[in-house]
Amino acid sequence: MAIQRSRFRKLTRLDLAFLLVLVGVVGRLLLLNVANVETVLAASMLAGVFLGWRYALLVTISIMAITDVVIYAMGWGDPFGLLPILGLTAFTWSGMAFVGLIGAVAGRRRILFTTRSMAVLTVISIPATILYDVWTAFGDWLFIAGPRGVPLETVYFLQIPFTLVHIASSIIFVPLFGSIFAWLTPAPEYLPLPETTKGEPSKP
Amino acid sequence: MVLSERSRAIAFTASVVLVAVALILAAQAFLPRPPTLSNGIVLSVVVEGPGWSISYESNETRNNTVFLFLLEAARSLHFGLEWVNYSPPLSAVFITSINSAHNGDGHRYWQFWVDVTFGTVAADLTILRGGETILWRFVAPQEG
Repeated sequence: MAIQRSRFRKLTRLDLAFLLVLVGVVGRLLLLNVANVETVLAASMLAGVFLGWRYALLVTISIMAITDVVIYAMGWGDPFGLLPILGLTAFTWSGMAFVGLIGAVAGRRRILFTTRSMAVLTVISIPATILYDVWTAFGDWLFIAGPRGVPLETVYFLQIPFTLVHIASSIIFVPLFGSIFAWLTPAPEYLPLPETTKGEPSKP
Repeated sequence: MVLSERSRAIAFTASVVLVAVALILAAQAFLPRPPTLSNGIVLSVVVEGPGWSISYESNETRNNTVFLFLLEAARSLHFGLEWVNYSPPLSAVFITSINSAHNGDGHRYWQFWVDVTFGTVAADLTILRGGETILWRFVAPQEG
């Protein structure tokens, strides 16, 4: 029995996971001064799409842990105090993990290096971004704005321009990195082909 | 008509760019824009630093955001002011130091209130109509 292996295997799943972590970490830190333009959501979602839910969680938690440590070491989170930051961290990490799981569900259908596949991923990234922003804005209200007397509806109203920019960020980064990772992703292995056998042709 | 993969990719990229630009423009529309004033308004500011306090008021200022009025006070009373800018598309200003008291000194940070209401948006996006008193306090997070 001959096994025909793909000649297009490029990187292992662990390589891809490492590259996705790199995309998330570098993008988040480089774009820190540009509100709600970030690559973490794209990296988490693409990890789910191409590597499955376990890698989605691994990639997401790795990116968030590395970048949060760097950001808070730079003193960005201090104005709010430890407890609000820990609370907000729970919301941002779980929100991104949920985006990774959405990606894993989307990845059940085969995502290829095609425009159609990238369009599908781009469309899925829009509700994923909205869900993430609704979730984390609630966390912001719970731990930071609410205790200062700001109503939840005000927090959601103020969130609107940030979410619009976040969607713009997602629909650019998801197909951009999606097409790169679709090209790098190991092609599915072919099923073993049965060997040809000699025999007498069946008689009609 | 069946499009080639290349044509599809170009059309898709163009669509994404157009939608992204539209979203960013829509986001800009939500940002508060201070009106250009033809007449001055009455405003006052109190800055409570570590062991010192600064008060400033104007009866005819046209600097009608929290940031611009603080800048006016700093220029008039000759105290230092430092801030960081958030880059576009959602530009914003955050004060990092007033009169040599820097954010993080003694785990305290600059926060502002407009007529006892906590500032929910950046200082340059908080518009003043006239008659308000702005309070800047250098406080630890749990005090805010």
